[in-house]
Amino acid sequence: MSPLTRPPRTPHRPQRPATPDSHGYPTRPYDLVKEFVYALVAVTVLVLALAAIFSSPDEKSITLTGWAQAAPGDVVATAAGELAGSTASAGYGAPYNHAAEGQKLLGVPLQKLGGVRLPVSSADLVLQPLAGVRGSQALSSALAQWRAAGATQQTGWASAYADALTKAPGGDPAKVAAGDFGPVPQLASSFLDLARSGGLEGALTSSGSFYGGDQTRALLLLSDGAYLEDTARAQNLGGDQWGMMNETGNYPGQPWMWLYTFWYQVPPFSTSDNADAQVWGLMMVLTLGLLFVPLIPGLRAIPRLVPVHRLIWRDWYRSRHA
Amino acid sequence: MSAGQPGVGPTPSAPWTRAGTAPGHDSWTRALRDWTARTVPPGQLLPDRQPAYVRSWIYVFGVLTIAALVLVVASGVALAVGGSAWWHVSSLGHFVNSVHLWSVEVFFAAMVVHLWGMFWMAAWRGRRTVTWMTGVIAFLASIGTAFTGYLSQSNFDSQWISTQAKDGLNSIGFGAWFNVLNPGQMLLWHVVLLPLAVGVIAVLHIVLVRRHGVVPPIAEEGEPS
Amino acid sequence: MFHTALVQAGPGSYVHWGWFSVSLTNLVIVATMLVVFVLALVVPFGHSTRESGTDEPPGASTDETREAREARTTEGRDGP
Repeated sequence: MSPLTRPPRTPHRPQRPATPDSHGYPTRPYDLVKEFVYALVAVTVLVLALAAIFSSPDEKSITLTGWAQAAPGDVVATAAGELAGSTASAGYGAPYNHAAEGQKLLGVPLQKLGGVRLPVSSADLVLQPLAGVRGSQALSSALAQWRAAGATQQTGWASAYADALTKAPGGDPAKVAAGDFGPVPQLASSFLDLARSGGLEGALTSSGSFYGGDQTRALLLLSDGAYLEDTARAQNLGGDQWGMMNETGNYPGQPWMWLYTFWYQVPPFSTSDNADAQVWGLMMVLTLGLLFVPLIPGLRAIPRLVPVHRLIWRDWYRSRHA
Repeated sequence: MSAGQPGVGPTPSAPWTRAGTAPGHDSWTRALRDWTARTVPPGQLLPDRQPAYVRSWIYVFGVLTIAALVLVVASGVALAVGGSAWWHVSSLGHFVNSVHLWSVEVFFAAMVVHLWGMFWMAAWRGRRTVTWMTGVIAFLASIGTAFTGYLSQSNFDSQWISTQAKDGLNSIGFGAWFNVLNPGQMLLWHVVLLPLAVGVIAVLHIVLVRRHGVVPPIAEEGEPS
Repeated sequence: MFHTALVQAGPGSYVHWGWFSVSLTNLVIVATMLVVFVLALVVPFGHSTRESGTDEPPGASTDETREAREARTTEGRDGP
């Protein structure tokens, strides 16, 4: 049906006229391939220039040795925390362990439903590498004492030591007040030595096999400490610093993540225990909204109500009136 | 466009049915050929003319997005040749990495401007709902691809982003399968699985645009457009 | 009212506006996108002087048959 023979709209009709077939309009020559080639050349020139002028960031990873050198007190505190079961990974829940219910969205325990498919023992993050160390009588005795003790005793020692560390000036293990810590100070100190020597590097990834490649355990250990986060926050990469959008230095980040990170900055999400699940749920709803714009009354009417299209098609509208 | 009646030659509604060829005939090849011809009619895949209303700079952002994607893939291929650690130890490798980063920034910038343009044109009109949806899905798949790219840098960024992102993904149970702390897995998602997804969706999107043509202007009140 | 502070934190420059914080680089990128978008809307598209030929009537764009052209129906109905 030609657009010219369609009956005019009456005010009573709720529906708009059908969009005419785009093939029913006058045409003009247009070279699509030439347009693509021009676009490719333009983008290539632009990108090569940007790359040459601005380069890209490459901040070196934090090695476990580097961590031990920069923040030895943090390594010791983290080791004590892993043994005490008080670190973030120890109390995480799925997928690493059963220690917590995890987050819920509208009451549904989504985190737990994922299951413990990546089992990690936080205490073993410390004990397993130490078990491989040879030549230290003090360490061997400490390990033996630890293994012989019951779980309650182990937790008691480690918690007391972790507590004492927070109270020591500067978190310095040498300045910890006296107390009943069992073998924990020795274990933590040996762990620090192992890290300093480079022996911890890879110990949690290869774990007896030759090829590593899965950094789960090493990253959980590192993120249980404060040093990784302190380093990140110094570069405005923290979750409450709009960090998801940012990059180290002055490099471009991911500005398209602006809405995702926005929710973490504002209540109720900024103070919620279930923030991650809630923000994800909200973003899913908004994403579905974007996906289904054509089907959502009101939303799909906005382009008609705010006539930006008059600018885009001004030549066409003018030619129709002429 | 229907397939026409069995045993009948070309009809107005089934112009591509050869005389004497019935649908339901046992040639799968002919059936596939007929289907592709109906999906994008001959001459529509690479037409050398455009509707007269296609006359605005806003229209170039789709092709700019495609061009940027080509550069993203090309620079990614170059990085793959050297391996995941190459760019840390080679200045050429670092430059290629920079090209990869900036082509991604240009890709997203062009795609979002294209999205803005398509929204204000209400480009979903005229049975183009699925075209719009493939565009949104391409956007989402691109975000996922970029995300796994950040995880594959094997530097401080990867350490921080992975340990942060795990909380979001674990909170909804996905982290049990999609382990962002596992660079071996993330690198393969980034280099193989997600680019394939983006590529397939982008091709679908472009085929749909060619099939339905560029959306006509919004009708002014009281007038057919 | 609002005060904007350009913070030079060795690692990068950030713009703070109340609780809103954005890196200078990201801000430049987004501002550029907005400018480019507006320019794309307003700058005249001047190809018609270079391309030969006037606007042809409908259907001249492809090799499709007359039957094929007639076969296509008007597409979709759009709600408000």
